[in-house]
Amino acid sequence: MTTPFTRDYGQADDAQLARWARDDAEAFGELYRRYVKKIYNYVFYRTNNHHDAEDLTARVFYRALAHIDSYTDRGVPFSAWLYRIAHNLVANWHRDNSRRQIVSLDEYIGNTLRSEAPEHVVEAGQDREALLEAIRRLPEDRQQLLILKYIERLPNAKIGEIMNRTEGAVKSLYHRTLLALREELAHYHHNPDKAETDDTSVQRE
Amino acid sequence: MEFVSHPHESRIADLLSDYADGVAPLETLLDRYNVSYQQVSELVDLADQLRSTLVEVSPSPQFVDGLLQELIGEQQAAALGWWSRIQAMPTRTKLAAGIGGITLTAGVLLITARSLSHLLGLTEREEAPGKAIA
Repeated sequence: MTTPFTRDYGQADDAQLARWARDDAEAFGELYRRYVKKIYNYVFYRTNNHHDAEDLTARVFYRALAHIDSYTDRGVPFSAWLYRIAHNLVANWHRDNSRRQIVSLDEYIGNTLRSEAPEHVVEAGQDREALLEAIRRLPEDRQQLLILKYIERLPNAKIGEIMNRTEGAVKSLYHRTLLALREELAHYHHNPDKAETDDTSVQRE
Repeated sequence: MEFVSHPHESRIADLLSDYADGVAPLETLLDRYNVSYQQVSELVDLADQLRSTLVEVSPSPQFVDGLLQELIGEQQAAALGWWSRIQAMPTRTKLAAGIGGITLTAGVLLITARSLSHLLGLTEREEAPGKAIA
């Protein structure tokens, strides 16, 4: 039987760490170190600003800590459990923020800088923004898939565990996601006019 | 040349997934799944755009370290929960609990002692008649 003094946190797998984490702060700390950047990335691309990404990332880990006793590795890896917490919190965040659209300072600064930059830089920036905007208009599961595939670089099997789908379903969803994005971008290029904001934070009803 | 027989859309889905995952160069995948470039060129370009747009971001070290300290503190406080609750009680409550505990313990000991001595007393009386006859 291991004690906190003999435990090798670095070598332990997630399931073992999760068991220890019920009464061992160091074990939970190790899990945190392994996943904080991944969860932050996931949340950042779902919210588009660092402030909310930090807030939601913290909430994810607080919730994980509060419910660590109820986690058991019955076919759901710890990473999948953590991503599901993140997914639910982000979904709630979007629901709570859907009425009021607040332009974050990041976006305002981005818009301002682009308007002062050389044309080719502006164009490349606009294409990037258009793509990010198109991604944010996708349904949540498709956004999640793109983040897990391109940022986390997870294989389809792992994505399937997190999203509770088969590998085949993940591939099919990815195909449909690309088709939907292509459509969104085509719509954007035909209607490039977007409302600009001229204040640091504007609430649109 | 590898050729995998699949329905058309399924082959395209497999190709796009493998391309995104960097399984093999595009030319190899086109051969493997028997798909022409024209059929997938737009989606392949889109996949390239996604690869260059969706890049990893880093949280600030201050945020990462600060949150870790908060979480560890939270975990340790929870582990000491019952003791912390006792420490937080008013002195009179702690005193009353202490006196009650001592009284209860003394009562249990007293009952136990009397039971033991009663048992011992019975044992001695049973031995006495034998000795008297002798």
